Amino acid sequence: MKVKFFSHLFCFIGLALMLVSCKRNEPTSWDSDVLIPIARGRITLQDIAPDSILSYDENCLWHLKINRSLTDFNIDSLVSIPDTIIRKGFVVPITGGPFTIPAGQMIINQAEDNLLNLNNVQLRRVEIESGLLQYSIKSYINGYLNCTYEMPGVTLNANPTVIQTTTQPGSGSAPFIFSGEIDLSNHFIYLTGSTGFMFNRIFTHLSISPAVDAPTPTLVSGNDSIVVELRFINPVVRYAQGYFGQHNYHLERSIDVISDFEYLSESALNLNRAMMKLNIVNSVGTDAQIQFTTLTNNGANFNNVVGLNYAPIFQPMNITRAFDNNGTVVPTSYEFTMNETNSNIVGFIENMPRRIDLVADVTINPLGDVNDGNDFIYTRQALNANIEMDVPLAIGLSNLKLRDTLDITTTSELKADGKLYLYVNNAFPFSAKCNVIIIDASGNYEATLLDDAQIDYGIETTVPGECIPVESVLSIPVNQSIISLLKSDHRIAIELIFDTPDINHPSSLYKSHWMDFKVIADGMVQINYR
Amino acid sequence: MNIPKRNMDTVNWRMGSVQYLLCVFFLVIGQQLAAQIPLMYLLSADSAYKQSNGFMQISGDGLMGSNALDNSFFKKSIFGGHLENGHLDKLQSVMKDQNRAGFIASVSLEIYNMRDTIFNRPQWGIRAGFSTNYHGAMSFSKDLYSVIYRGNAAFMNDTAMLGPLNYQFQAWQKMGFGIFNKHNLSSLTLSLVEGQKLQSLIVSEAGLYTSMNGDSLALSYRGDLLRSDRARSGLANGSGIGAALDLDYNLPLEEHNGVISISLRDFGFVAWNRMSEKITYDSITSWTGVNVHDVFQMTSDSLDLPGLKDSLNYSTQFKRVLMPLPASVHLRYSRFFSAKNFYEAGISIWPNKAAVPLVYAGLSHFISEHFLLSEKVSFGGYGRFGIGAEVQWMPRGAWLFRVGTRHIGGFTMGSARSVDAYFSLAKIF
Repeated sequence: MKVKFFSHLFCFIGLALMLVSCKRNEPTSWDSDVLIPIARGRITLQDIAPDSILSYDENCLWHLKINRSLTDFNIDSLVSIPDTIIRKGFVVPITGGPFTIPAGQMIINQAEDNLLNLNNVQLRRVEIESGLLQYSIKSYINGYLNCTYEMPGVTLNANPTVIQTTTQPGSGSAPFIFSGEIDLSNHFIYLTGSTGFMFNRIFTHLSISPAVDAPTPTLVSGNDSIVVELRFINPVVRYAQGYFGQHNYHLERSIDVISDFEYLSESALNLNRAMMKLNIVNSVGTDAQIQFTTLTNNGANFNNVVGLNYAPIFQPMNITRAFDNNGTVVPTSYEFTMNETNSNIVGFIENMPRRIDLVADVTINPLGDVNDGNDFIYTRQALNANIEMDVPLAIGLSNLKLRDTLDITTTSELKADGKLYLYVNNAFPFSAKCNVIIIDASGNYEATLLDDAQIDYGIETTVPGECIPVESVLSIPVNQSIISLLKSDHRIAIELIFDTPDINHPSSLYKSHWMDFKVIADGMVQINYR
Repeated sequence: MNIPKRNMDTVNWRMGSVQYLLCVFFLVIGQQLAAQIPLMYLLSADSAYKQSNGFMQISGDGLMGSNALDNSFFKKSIFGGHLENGHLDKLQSVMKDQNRAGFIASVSLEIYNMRDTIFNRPQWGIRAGFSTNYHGAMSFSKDLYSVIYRGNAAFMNDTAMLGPLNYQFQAWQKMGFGIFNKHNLSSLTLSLVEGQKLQSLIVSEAGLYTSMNGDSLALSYRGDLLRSDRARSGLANGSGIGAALDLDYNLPLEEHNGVISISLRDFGFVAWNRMSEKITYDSITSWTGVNVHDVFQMTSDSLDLPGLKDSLNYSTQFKRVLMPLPASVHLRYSRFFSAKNFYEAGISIWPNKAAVPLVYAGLSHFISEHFLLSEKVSFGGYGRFGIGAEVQWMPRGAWLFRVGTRHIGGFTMGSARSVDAYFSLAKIF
């Protein structure tokens, strides 16, 4: 009886302890009706367009400024040095044998002018930016030999390059091989050969004699040889001098102008004024003749192609050589200014160029070697053509679309049902329709958040730059299905469609224009407490 | 069994003026659940245990209650689960402007030595005790509950009064020695206290303003947060030390007709170490959303959803803190109205802003000499109205087993405002 009583008692206590030690196996959660501001901010034109293409003038009027390099005409390719192998065998000038050659007696003493295979240019001197010279010396002679290979025209800080070694005995079947490599960075290579008046030639000198302290005698037979191999690996030229030859070539280029916008399409843009400069700057010591045959732009959706009408650049332009003032290049430059009075530049830009295509014919040294082999090039400063666009932003917009995608990243287990309210206070003189959709990773439509939601334009006053803001409220639904989409591999695509009140009466965009926005969440949110 | 005749008309208080004043003092400062000595010891006709060598008693009690929050809310808050909107709305609808909630838990071991005497007084013995105790209490506004559980949308263009808010939690262990009267089990115990953990938040004023369209929130707040050394936690690894006095005064009525019991628990303090942290808040923080500049920057194609960051302004001070223990005072009056039945009335008081005095009354019945069954009604404390029951059983005068609750409904009804239980297990040697 007593045992039973205690067993019951302990069972009860154990049960009580189990109850007390119960652990939570799920979070405590509840739904809360929240109304909280999420985000706010101010958008100016600088936020919409990249800083690099916007600036404002003394009246705080925005200008769209685009500077792009059109081409460098590829002149540096003329003086490039290809990977080159120079392989020379030096034979002992005796017959018969073997003969024992006394130490110190010269066996081979031979100079060479080694030709570099350059393409129709006659180079006298180059400075190397980077590259390697790999070498190997193979000895088929049975003896210890002092071997000296000099390259007086390959210098670093005015010191010639010399390869020296003492070879060990070799044979016809098992030559002794000595190899290594030299970093050619900052080396000068003189290509004037042994006379100093040649071109494209590297002068070398090989001398071989038995080593003085050789442990065994040197036995030489006729036809024994030494083979020297030089390999120029990826030589990049920093500077070149010589005659670059007369070349004619056809140049085609495509240049992205505003690649940051995903696309602008189905839009109309009306500009009052526009200006574009074409600058050609020649920093190369050669004459050239350039004639553009085509200069067109492709509009935002690549459907509309507009050619530039401006006669001077479609005539042959003779470009004189630059002057090398002891390492300081004095370039020659040519500037062509196009505006709404002398060209169709307004229409050219109204096409909203996303890409410019050009075709040109180029002649290098059209008059031949008129400078006695003293053409030069610093490859970092070539013959360039670039454009500068300057568009004062007095514009009329119709259906101008700006589109971008946002990756919304959230790892929270948010459960909500409500709305996001977007309050927009617009002090721009243009309105916008806003479409926001959710797309999957492949860009396919999944859900609509905003459909043609209207942001009204601010009201311009007679004071330049003053615009009375107008508030618009956009409502974005947020529910569990939308949150689930955003948590998976989906993105939000935002499309803004801009319009000015009247496309035929362009509105000026000033620095004082802005758009304020506030995002406010209003809905039931599930709070989880672990 | 010979049960003496009880006089229902006269009560001899046998109290001096000092005792009376002490009683009044205790009444105004507080109480603890089921903390008093079981009546079986005091009112049973079998007093043979007083001739024993002594007895050892393990006791435990736990209570959780509120005048506004119900047991279903507590259960899901502690064990997890979804709090339904209708349930939360119902709680909100019956709330007062200021509400209260609290909990108490303790386990104790007490040893009474009946054989030895002290100071040559045969009626006095030595007792020792060890206990671990937890006490939390909170007084909160209806608006605070509304903002947390129902959201701030209802306060559009209005201010939710989040204060005053008082919250205190203390955990401590006691080990003490004392003397007791072998006849009536009155005792006085002095304990060494180890403070395990302290958290005290007093917000005198706080408000959350929500603008008309929700584009700005403004939180104003003023208060102090006091917390013990956070580097030390867990049982027997506390960061405070102190002392406490526990007192039981059992005054038998004439002719064994009943008893008056006055008890004081945890009348003491804890000195928390110098790494105790006092954080003072007094500021207004506004929130208008994350300031986003680059949403439409074409170079930035990602946007992380912003979170509401903690931007409260506060100052922090590390220092030693002397803090009183959450003392409690209990007064119980028991009187036989028949040979085997007596009634009981009492009051328990916790001296904090979250609790109101708990008053109770009940009837008890000696089913046998060693078996006592009680039923009680109570009101107050951290909760509201409650019906309870208690069983005390002293088999063969060698054991005592007591179990009871003041809120039977707390075990069966989610809508009840309190749940509690207590037990005692004693072995008489």
